[in-house]
Amino acid sequence: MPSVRNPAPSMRAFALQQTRTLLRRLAYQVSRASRPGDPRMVDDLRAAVGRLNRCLRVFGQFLPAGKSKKVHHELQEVMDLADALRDWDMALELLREARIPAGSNGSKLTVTLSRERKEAETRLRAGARRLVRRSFSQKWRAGLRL
Amino acid sequence: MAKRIKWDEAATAAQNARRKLPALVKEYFAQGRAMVRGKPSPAAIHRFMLRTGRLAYSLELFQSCYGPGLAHRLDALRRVGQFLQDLDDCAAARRIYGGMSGVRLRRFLDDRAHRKVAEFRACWTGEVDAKGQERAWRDYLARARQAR
Repeated sequence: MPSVRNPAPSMRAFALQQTRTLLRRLAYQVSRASRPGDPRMVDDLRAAVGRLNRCLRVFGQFLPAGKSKKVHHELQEVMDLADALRDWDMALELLREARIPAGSNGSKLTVTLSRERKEAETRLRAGARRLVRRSFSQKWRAGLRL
Repeated sequence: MAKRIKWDEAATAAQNARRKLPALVKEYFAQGRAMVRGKPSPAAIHRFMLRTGRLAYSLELFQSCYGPGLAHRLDALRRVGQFLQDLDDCAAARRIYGGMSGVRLRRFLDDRAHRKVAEFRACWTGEVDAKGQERAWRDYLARARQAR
């Protein structure tokens, strides 16, 4: 039974609070992704995008539909960039695990994958910087009326 | 979780969680059982991997309405999700390597995929969907308390 002093928040207030929290966490991860030299960044960024995306869908009833759709779209763009980098990382990792002998196709493949990985990392960092420059979290917060 | 959930605005988060979350889990278990029964295609594995992640993220939203039992359940979901991700990676790696992968690399990926399927099945049948687990999940989710 909720006390008078500490009444249970309404469903709307609860949903908006969750969305605010996840948006703040995403802003932190995007800021990390915009800077070089953090190899664990991509997994944390993908998780933050996934969580906010799910939150917007689950609590869509409490959010402005038009803005919510736009944010979904922008989140998907970030996710695509992060997924691409993660895919190259995964492909390189599996190639290492396979222990293909030197001098075979393995070394050629490693060079190709490493080059693609570097490009994907540059694209992701540029995308993250664009978001940071645009103060995306403040804009989304205002647009979603959080 | 194809349908959008309609929340009751007059009710609290805990009341909504009690009413809506057990149904999400019921649907997820049905999909998981269909997966382990047959020989799932890479596309089916990918879809179920996404569903697993979505369910975990949806339940996480209500973590403040539950005790530590939810964290244990989420850990089990994450383990399933990791096996599915590893399995999905084998298919994705095959596409990425394309014609550049030799026999040895293809065999490595096939062996890894077989191992991961076995690990996923063991985790699903022995842990997540062990006897009485679906009922326990639904009963647990139906006991949400006021958000802290």
